[in-house]
Amino acid sequence: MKILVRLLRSPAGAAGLILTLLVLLGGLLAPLLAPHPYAAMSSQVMAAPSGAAWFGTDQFGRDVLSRTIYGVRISLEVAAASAGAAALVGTLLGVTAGYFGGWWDALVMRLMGILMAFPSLLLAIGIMTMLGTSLVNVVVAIGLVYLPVFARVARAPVLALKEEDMITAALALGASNPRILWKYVLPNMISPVVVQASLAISNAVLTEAALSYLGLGVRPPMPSLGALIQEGQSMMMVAPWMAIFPGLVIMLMVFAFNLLGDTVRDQLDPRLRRMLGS
Amino acid sequence: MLTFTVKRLLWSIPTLLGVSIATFLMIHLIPGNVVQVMLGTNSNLSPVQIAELEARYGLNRPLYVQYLSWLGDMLRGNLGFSLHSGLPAATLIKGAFGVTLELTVIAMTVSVTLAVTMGIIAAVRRGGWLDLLARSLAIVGLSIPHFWLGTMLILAASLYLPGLSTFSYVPFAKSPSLNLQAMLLPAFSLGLSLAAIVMRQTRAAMLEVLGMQYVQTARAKGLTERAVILRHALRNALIPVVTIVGLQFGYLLGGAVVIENVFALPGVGRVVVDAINQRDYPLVQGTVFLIAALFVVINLLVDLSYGLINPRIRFQ
Repeated sequence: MKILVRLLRSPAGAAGLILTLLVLLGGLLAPLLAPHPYAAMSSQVMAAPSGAAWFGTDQFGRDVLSRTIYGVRISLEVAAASAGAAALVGTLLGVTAGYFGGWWDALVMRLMGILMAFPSLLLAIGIMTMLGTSLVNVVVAIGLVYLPVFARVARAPVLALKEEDMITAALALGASNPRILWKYVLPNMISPVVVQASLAISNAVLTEAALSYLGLGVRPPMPSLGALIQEGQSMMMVAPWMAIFPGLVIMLMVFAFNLLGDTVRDQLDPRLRRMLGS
Repeated sequence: MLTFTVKRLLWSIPTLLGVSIATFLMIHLIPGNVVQVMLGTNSNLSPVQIAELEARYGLNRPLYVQYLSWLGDMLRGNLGFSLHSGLPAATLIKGAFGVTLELTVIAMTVSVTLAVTMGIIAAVRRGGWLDLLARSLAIVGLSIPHFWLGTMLILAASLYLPGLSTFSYVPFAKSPSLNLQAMLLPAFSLGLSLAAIVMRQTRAAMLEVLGMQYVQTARAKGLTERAVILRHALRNALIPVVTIVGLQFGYLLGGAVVIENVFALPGVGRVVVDAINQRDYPLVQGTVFLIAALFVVINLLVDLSYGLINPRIRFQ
């Protein structure tokens, strides 16, 4: 609650929160907000933006606004699921690796090191090539790309935490390892994971868009923002709105998440808070 | 420094091996095997003939034998054969790699030069309009999908700069000026988000360093502000910036895959995407391994340069 109040007090935080909520609502209420079903065709082929079709229509007469709204929904689904899965699994791996140490730590961190040795987009492309295009596979690919970041972010504070008196005292009192991890370790190291998650969502939106731009995202006719840009690129000289609007919407989404993520980071990091004097 | 270098070199060997295992296994995750992919659905071959083909490609051997043989080939520079053209992958990648490397290096040079300058100005003029402008540009730069920016730049160039040679790649050796013209917009599209990241990192690091006692001592000694910033503060502030730039090189290589497809540049990205569309898995595998191995080597060089800049690192 304190964080929320602090967020709303900062203009950037308030703007980020409001924009994020608008984007989330847009995605959640896609069937209500979209004027037409995303695959509905009409005779109005490549019609310029107007009162009847705000974002214009594409080469099959489909409403670009409706397709963009559904694209936002898919983008949000993929970003939330992949960043959420990466945060959950990555934190679990990082915390247990840091806490137990030894061979488990070495194994986990070596595996994470291997995943990090691939440029992220290339890793996602490689995984998608092998798994094939589908919504679930995009989530798996992007989730795997961001997994090592969470494992590293979660492990670092645990290394210091496990040496603290409260852990020694809990062990002396006979507390089990799962209880210590749940009651004493997790609550004291969750801030950096939350910050990382808010930033990972915006990166996941961009990665999903890049994959679908390359034809490695969700299967058509399901609209994805990257695929909409790719379709629009071939019609660029005759119907530029087909690529312009989906791109602007991706930019708005990522801008909202970045603004929110940055403010959350500033508020949760006491060092940064002191530097910023808030 | 020698011990540090040797240690770091030894550390990168298991990572490279891990990368090779992961890349090798990628192809084995595909349903069926390479021979079935080659034959497609229209195959009239009998199971015996398929088994013969599998034996020819060594696919009937145990997995670890296949891996060791593949790794040996990779180390000798044999990246496998393209299923589509039958040509060695190394031949197909060789020419394309220069284009990708040129694009990445130009994008990095331009963005880092601009970003470090902007980061210093933003930190020195903290709270002023230049700081606000730089920070706003950075957040916008981080939010723009690079392939969309590229598409918009192509549109703008076609409408307003018809004389600019942006759409046809010319090798540097043939015409340096036409080559740089063709690289200008792709490099800008690719480097914008890196510039944003580096600007923010430089600003944050400079702010931290400028508040330190040794900087105040330098000022108290009577040094000019320019000398304090450039000779004393910047040198220390650059340490985290170098790390970020090194790590982002991999991001640029990945991003180049997309940008090359936007601008139709004949780089590795085009090779990969064409190979994916033609289900040419050995070519995808060879290219992915080559880029990942290059990324590991770059990370190694970044770590070594980190040791050079900061003596404390190499003595730890």
